[in-house]
Amino acid sequence: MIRALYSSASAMAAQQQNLDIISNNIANINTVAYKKTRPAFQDALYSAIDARRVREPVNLQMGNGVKVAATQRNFSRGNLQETGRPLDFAIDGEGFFVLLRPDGTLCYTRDGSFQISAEQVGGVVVSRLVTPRGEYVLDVNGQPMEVYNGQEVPLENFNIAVFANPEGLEAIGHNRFVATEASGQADYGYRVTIRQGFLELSNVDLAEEMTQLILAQRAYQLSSRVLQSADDMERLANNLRE
Amino acid sequence: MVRGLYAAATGMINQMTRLDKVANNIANVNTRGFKGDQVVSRAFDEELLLRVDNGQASSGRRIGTINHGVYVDRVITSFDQGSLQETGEATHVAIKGEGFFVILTEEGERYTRDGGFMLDDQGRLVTVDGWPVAGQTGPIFVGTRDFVIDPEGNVMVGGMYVDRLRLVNFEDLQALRKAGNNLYINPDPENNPAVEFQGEVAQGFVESSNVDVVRETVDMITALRNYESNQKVIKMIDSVLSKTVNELGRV
Repeated sequence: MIRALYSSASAMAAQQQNLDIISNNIANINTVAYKKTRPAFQDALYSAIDARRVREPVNLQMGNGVKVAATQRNFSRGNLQETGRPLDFAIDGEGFFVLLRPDGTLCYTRDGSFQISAEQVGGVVVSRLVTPRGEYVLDVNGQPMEVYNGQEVPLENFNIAVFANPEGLEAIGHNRFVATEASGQADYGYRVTIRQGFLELSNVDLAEEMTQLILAQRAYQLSSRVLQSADDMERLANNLRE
Repeated sequence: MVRGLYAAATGMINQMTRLDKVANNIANVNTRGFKGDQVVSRAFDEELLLRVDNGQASSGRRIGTINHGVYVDRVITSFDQGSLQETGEATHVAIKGEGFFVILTEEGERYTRDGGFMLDDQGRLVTVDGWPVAGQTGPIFVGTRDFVIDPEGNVMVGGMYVDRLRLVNFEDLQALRKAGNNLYINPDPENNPAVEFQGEVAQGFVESSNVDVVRETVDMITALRNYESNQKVIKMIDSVLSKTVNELGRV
């Protein structure tokens, strides 16, 4: 009895989390280079129905519900959209732009909507490519990318990083990722076509998200029904003696 | 009469276990590769009733048999195929037909139908928990997301054979035990050896749960109603007992 209550409660919690993930995907449907996420569900541990009968060679174990084991990010490519803006870049293939944060650490992004930062270097004004948040975009030599004549960027100079397991990257907001133990170290200098004047769209498919939404909602509803039945049973047991 | 009280109580406990089963199956309705459970109930052994005259059973007459209720005999897992759902991810693999992927965990080999794999930092094919998927000689190193798995399970990178998924099946699927995390364990490999895998695999797909929500909903309703009936029986016996105790002897 208690088991049914908790199993269905775990399912409702998991579906709630599923719904959170779906709503975040839909919220980011117009975010440049956003990558959708999906939860991976797993069955929770099993316990013996009757502790005195564990030695019997038959299956006598009952599950304890479900859990969200991981959220998996889908790095499939979004469509490329032409913007005509010379400081918009899209990676036509695998990989990430490498960004240098003000604190000296690196992060990675596929969002190529950059800007120019004019800086005094040794008495000369240099135009450097930066993100809207002021992070430098690095070139193959690990130096900030420079922009000539306000729009000319040597595309082959972009430093592109690839990872053994991009799903292991940690999203830190503002379309950026950082490397983790799970993702492995970045492999720099990957050769890939960069398109100037294009941006990568979000890879969220609204029809797919709506389908997931319906599934999540129904699963939630069903589990709440089971919870109600378990509660009804408790009530009946309570009413055995009036 | 008091016998009936206990029989009805075992009925209530049995229906409770069935609701536990429904709760777990429905909780896992969106779990990849999940296989639903069913509860098999069984009546207690029949007992022969004898009429006893003057304390002498030997001279008694047979009345008939009776049993004292019901218990959960076993849980069986339905290994029916779940429907295949396309994800388009190269690291996702689904099994068509009977069989399992072999997962190399810390505690030994485990088996799973959940083919929602990914790559780890070393480029190995792993589960979402990070356990490597077994190839012919250990973990499968692919190193890139640009690889192909053919229906026989051969893993190819750029047209070159790299490894082959180790796929197994078992003579007695009911001897397997669920270990949580979408894994199965084979507790008695000697009596239930792995046999050759006969099905095929599909890359870019995952197998959905095989739980039938209609059946589970019906099971839920019947469990609840049967529980209620048993409860009514107990209350009835109780009121009869109450009459016996409180009213019968009244002068």
